Amino acid sequence: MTRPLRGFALDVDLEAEGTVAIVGPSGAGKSSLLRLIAGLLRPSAGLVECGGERWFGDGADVPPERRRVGFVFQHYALFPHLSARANVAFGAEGRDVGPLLRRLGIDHLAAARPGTLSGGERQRVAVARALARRPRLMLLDEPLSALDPATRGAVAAELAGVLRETGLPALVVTHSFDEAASLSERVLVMERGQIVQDGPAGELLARPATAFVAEFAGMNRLTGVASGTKVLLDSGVEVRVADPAEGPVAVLVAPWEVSLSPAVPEGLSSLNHLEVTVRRVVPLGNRVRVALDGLTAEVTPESAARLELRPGVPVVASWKATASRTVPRA
Amino acid sequence: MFSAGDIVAGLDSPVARDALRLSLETSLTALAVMVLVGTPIAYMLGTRDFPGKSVVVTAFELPLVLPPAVAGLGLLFAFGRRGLLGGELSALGLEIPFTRLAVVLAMTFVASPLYVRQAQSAFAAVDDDLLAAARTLGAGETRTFLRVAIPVAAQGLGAGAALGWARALGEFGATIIFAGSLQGVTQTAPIAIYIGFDSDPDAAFAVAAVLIAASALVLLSVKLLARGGARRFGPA
Repeated sequence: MTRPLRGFALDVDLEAEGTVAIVGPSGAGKSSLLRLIAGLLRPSAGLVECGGERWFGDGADVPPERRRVGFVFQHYALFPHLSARANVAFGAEGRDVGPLLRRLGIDHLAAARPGTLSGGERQRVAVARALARRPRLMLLDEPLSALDPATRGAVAAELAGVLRETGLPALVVTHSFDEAASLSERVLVMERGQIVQDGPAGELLARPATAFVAEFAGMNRLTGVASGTKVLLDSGVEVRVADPAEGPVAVLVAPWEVSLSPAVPEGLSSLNHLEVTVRRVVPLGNRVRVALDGLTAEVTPESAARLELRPGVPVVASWKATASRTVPRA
Repeated sequence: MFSAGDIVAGLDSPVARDALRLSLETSLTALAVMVLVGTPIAYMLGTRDFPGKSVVVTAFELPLVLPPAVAGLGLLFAFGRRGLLGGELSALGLEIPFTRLAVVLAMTFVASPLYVRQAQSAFAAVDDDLLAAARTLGAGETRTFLRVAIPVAAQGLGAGAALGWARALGEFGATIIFAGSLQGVTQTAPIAIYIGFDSDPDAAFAVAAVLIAASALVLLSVKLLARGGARRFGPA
């Protein structure tokens, strides 16, 4: 379906089953996509169907109240004048919401007003309220962004479980790779109203389609000008890449493909080298993340100790040409 | 000087009692009309954009700046026997000027913009996502309006109603021109004060004292509503 947005048109062709995470830079049209499906926005042309039922297109335009979508808004949009229970019961058409409150672990909060609940509690009320509608499709707009980072991981796992249990198709907009990966097997990347990549989270890491996908997945992004398999980086250093290209490009390298050594190793011409300075050293579980000038490396704690990595230490960062990808840059 | 005893004595006069009863009844009727008709209009103006909206808003706000005497003349011109709608109204056996209905019309005309303006901004302040959420939960336009928009905007609506009622209660210029000053029929409290100032000062001051108390009460309730609104829903 199509809808003109500020500066570009949303043009998306998508079929969903199970949970699909949608990611993309802000303003890519992710929220608009959900609102178009829910009937809160009207596409200028296109088709919206759910379970064989035509919601929009060819003269049909079903109003939002008859589309049976479970929408979870970014800031939850709980009704402030109603208790948690009354919020959940709003769309339940008289059905008992007790079992749903228990299933989401919020039955003890039934009488509380949304203003008194924590972020995580509000999110569960919002999910329960959407499910109480008996939806045929769940649409969740950044359901985790209003939570503090410490609880986000646990809530994401819980949410993924709840969505899986329902067996409903669900589109979840998120803005972090970890969230997307923990919510769903399938990740869909949108940029400027278009779907630029659609596949398992692992594929985004292995074969990012655009510079945004790479950065989003935590990859290094070095800009320069390509001529065949050589790229002259903006820093003046020439590196080799596997994919030949011409003109302005970004060279993408995963942090774990970057190795560090005290000096340029000899006799390994297949490697690219950059002489850089250590800026920050952050232990991350069984890995150590090393921030360098314009580059991030991930090494084992053993090699971090052996290299005596600390801010200010000069090192040589190396990676294989075959471990990098080249994408054109606007 | 007037003592409390003078006020009580003044309230004994039939002129004062008739005026206060009439003012209470007509201003509450005017309030009911402006709330019932004005609330949906304010909702449309506060939550929707449509071509010519600013023209409509300006038309609704005109009575706010119009001198009340001019408003009274305008009402006569529209509803008078020889007015624009006079012919149609007499055909229906309706004669509006110089009746109780004229008092209510004058009050509604002058006071409703105050209510509509306040209600419009109260509705505009309601988070759009709350209304969108109600729609996705199966509520049509009407149920969304009644069950979400009105309760969430309630304090603003209450404050607007209080201000509108106070303005209706104090209406003088449009009423005296369009409805006249017939004791017990169209002589409202402010008009009774004006007439009684010469003929029956005790009654005039007694009525004035009641109006002062009513105005103070309205102002107090508006302030309390505003404070309650901030506290009611807690942090967002």
